[in-house]
Amino acid sequence: MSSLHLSDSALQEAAESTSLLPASQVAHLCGCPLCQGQVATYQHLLTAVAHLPPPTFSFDLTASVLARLPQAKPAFPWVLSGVAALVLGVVIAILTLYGGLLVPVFQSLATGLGAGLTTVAGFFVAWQCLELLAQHRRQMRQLAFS
Amino acid sequence: MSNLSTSPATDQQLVAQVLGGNTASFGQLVQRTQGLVTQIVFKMIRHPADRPDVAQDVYVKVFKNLAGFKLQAKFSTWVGQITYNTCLHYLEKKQLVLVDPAEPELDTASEYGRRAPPLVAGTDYDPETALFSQNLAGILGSAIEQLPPLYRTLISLYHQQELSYEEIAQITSLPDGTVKNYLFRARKQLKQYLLITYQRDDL
Repeated sequence: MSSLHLSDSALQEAAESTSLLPASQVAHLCGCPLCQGQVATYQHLLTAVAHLPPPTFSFDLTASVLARLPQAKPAFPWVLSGVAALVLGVVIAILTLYGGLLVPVFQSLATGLGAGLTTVAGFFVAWQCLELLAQHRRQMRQLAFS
Repeated sequence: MSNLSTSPATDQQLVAQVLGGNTASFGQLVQRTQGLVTQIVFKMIRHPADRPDVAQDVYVKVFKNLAGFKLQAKFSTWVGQITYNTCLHYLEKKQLVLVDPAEPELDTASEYGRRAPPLVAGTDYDPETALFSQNLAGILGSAIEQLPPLYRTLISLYHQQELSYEEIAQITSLPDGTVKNYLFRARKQLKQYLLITYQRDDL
């Protein structure tokens, strides 16, 4: 048996498995009660560490994480944008092709009729604006209470 | 056949579901990895009040970077990496020391062959009765708390989470050899602390 005791790192390796040690150290360990005692100390210590209760949070981590996740951004309305572009294209095409015919039609209209049409259009736009405002207020109220 | 239909989704499948917009699947990923995350956060962050925020920050980062996760990799290791880096950032912000640089390296090669000092005086020392006689969990818990954050983390990852040296090396971005060396030093410090602090009769 060698008179040199095992180093601390060798003792730790022996505590995990003696197969990790060179043969000379295994031979020493077999005949040395002191090294055996120290290996046993490490074995007991590490077994105890492995059986320590795992730490836990006092709250539901999963629920709190899900509540903190950033909201997904709404997808870009590709279909709606496509339809709008198509409609705009058709209008532009019609105006390009038949725009010249519309000028004399508007010129022939009486001034009173023009003023009437403008007034109706103005009322329509104002009504739409009020509707939008009312809808916005409703949404804001819902957000405040939710 | 029924086993196939009821078998739980793999981590990779859950990741794909979350990326497809199913946020609820992320809850399953959290449940699967929270043991590891909690372990790292508790060992790296000493201040209990900061731990919940750090743990939640970890998962928000995981969620935001999920598209960057390589499906071939192990999900828990990737989450462990993010957890470790988040804790490291916290320690840097608080200017806390991860491991004492003044402590000498444990040179396993040179240490081999050195005459090892006896753990305690006397030859009739019985470590089994000493270590298991009283409130071992409490004593061990407080002893581990005395170690530097990195040592505490390595001990819990290796001995409690049962991760391999390679997995710990991936999580901490340390070379395998360094992980092994630090673990040796951590265990040695732990044992010495226990032996110095708690006399044989106290144990």
